[in-house]
Amino acid sequence: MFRSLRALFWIAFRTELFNLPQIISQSVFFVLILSVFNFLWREGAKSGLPLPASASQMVWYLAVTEVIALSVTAIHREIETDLHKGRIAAALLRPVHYLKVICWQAAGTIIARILVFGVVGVLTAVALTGEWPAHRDIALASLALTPIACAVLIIFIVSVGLSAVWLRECSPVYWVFQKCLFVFGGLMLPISMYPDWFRSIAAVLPFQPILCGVAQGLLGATSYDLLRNLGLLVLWFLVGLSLAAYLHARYVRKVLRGEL
Amino acid sequence: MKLGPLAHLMLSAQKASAASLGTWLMGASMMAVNNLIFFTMWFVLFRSNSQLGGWTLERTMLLFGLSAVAFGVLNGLFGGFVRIPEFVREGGLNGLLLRPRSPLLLVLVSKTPASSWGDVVSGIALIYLSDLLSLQGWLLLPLVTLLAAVVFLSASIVFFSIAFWLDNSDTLSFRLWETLITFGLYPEGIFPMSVRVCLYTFLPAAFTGFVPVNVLVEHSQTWLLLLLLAAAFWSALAYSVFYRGLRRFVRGVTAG
Repeated sequence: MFRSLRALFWIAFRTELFNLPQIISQSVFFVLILSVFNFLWREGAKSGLPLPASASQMVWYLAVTEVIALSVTAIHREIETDLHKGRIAAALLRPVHYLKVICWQAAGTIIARILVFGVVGVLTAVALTGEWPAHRDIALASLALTPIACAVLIIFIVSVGLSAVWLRECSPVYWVFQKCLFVFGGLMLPISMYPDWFRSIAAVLPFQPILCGVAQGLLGATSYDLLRNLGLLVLWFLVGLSLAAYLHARYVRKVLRGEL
Repeated sequence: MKLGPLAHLMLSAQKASAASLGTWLMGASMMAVNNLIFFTMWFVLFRSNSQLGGWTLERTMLLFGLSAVAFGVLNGLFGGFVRIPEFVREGGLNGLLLRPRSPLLLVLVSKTPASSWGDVVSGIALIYLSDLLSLQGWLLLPLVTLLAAVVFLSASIVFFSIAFWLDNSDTLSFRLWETLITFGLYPEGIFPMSVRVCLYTFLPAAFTGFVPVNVLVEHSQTWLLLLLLAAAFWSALAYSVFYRGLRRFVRGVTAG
């Protein structure tokens, strides 16, 4: 079974890597976003905005959070289509679990994207700021957490996709999930810039360890902070996995009872 | 009361979109929540700084609200522009060409996402909360929103019509479209002059955001005239690009 999953991983990896129109247009979008925020942080620094680091390091922070956010595929739409076309029910007859298939395929796509966007992010950040990350060793350790953060994110997106069993359309849930990720995760602004009450909410949600927790190395976090974040990522991965497995089991029960 | 063919088309598209009321309400309300969550970033930035690039929180709120309303109106009534590549690729235009109405119009009303009305609601809420509009501003709002929506829709038609010339152009068109939306949501003052020139020309984000805000706040006739000219130019361009592509499609020249 592992061989077939590995094959799915490599097929998805290669397909993504050679999907040039997709890769190029997303890279251009990534460069544009980094440029917009480069302008914003420079203007902010000029007008006395209290930033947690220099404008250049803030661009590096955004480069890392954006690599994670952009690398994760819209897997929820695939799950929704599979649900409506009865492919998940048909997959019950197959020897490999549907969720494993979808997650391994997503993993292949994500790793390909991390490689491409990682290179694009580094080149763009250097070109825009003319600087390397201030804390290079911690920044490298941060980057090592990127695939784990993507894995946590994808497992929650699987649950968002499975919500279509009850809601028919999962896109509205995804929009809110995505914006919560952007805001509570600290995609553009590190969580330290938010007020205290906001930070206490963000602390109990899975979004902060996925984005801000990983990229905090760029803003001077210690190795202890990163280790703690790794623990949180593992914890949230287990929570997300349990949620996805529970929703899938509920779906199977519905199928077997003929309620769908 | 007798409705014209255009009104009939639009009405039936809206009815189809709201066929499942629960899904419609959820789509609209989630989009409104989505926009309001996204706007929290600006609250945080302006919490410790009253101005960014010469823009205040209130003005940014108006910018975001106005863009959301313009986008919501265009997408809610004519959201089918995203389907142009699909119609080209799968030959769906053949069927539309046999019908007496304009194929462009039929494509445009082929999709009317419910979520767009959430954009409109959240946009109006933000415009109201910005507290920047005088009575004259409120009276001008429908006209200015309409003009911004025309620019938005026309630019979207141009971007998605690339499919007539380039195979698999969906992602490229989507990115261009996203870029247009993205740049229109940030205060003009943060961009250097070179970027601003692009936003007033190739990528008309200025006309979906900054210029309408200037018209509403400053009641400037010059800005209004500029917006009118931009709307006229971009709608003529969209019409010309789409029908040029359609002629190519009719001749049987495929993309790629």
